[in-house]
Amino acid sequence: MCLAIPALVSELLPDDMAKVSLDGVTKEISIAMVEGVKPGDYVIIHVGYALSKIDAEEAEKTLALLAEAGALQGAAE
Amino acid sequence: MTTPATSFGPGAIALTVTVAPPAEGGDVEAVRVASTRPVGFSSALFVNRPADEIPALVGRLHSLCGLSHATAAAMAVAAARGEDATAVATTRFDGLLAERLGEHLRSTFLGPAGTPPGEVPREMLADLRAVLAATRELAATTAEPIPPPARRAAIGRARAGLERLGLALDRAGRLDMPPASWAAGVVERFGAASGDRHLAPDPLTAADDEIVIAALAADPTGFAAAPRLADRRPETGPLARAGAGVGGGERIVARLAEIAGAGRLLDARSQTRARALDAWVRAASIDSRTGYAAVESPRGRLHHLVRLDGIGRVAFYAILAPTEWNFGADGPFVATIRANRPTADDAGRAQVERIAAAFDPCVGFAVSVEERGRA
Repeated sequence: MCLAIPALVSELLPDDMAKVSLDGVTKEISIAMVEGVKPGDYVIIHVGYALSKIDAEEAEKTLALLAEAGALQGAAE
Repeated sequence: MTTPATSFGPGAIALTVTVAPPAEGGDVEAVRVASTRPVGFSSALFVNRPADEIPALVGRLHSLCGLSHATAAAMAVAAARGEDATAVATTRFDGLLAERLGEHLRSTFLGPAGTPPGEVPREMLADLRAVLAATRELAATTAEPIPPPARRAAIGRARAGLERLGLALDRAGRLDMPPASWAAGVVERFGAASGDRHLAPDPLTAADDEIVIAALAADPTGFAAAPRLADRRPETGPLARAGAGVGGGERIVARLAEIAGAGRLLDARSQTRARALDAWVRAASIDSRTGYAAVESPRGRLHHLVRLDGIGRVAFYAILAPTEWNFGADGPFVATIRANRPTADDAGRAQVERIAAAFDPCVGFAVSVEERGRA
């Protein structure tokens, strides 16, 4: 079940990488697949890659849904 | 030998293969598929909500195949109400095509057959990004249809990028890959030359829907986590849809052919699209408040089942995803590993990773190949 996990981009790194934060945990991901990502954007992540950008309102709705389902527990581990 | 889990999301699959010591023949003795993905969350989230909210919610929740999920939900709800479910899919067909195309392309680029993004030539990465951006535009889950000029432009960008990647069909509908193209390179690295043995698929089809839905209704959590059909080993996805093919190269060729085929269908005549859609989606009413839908999502046949209460709210909801069939305890991935001879070293781990990637699970996976007694 491929759930969508939005994460907030906090910093751009060399080589199409970026730092994101999710539920208080910071991770490095690849943003090679998506153009125009910048700090402050929300991106949907899958196996270490940003799949797409989504707006903040949509991200917050999704995070609220995932929290309701309990699916965020351990998401950033 | 173990690869680190690459998951940054809710769950992953751990694939553990145990082999006999070389002195005893090195046979595969056990294949364990352990999933940490959430199960049954759809019931917890959707029950008591108005049915009209579900397609958008389910689309938002799924990262990879949101439109397939949203379409399955909308069709299942329509079927439960006794409404025309096919009309729901007709308006979304561009999106379903784009989603299949984009998912297969992205997954192949990022999998063992692809090239790490850091090593991809810039012009190739630009083509990939252009195609993926066009597919995201076409597969947006918003209610507003894309305006015709923007639609034509997005289709044009997608098809031009696919052609540069070597993903086009010839007049007979066969994959036509220029020898030096990215697509030809994928087949060379990942296909028959890899030496992996692949088994003929036992396709999960529309003829199986009724028995699948009955089993899902009887045990929504258990069956959704571990689906099975008596005396069968159903497979779903590109090779199963192709309906034929045995041999190392066929599984990846089937996926690449679906990318090119979806690109062509975006531009096809309405009769051709209607025939394709007919095989792509199906929905039916079970009783006056219960309906189901099956959608051929990128990774295979996806089932949604819904029962409504007397005021149009969801009383029951279940989702069965295609990865569960392919990575079942006795499913086609496990059978394929048993048909091969991975060794407890880097080469064996790479082989298991390659085979797992050929089945393309919808979550990250970690592979471990262990010699019995040395785990």
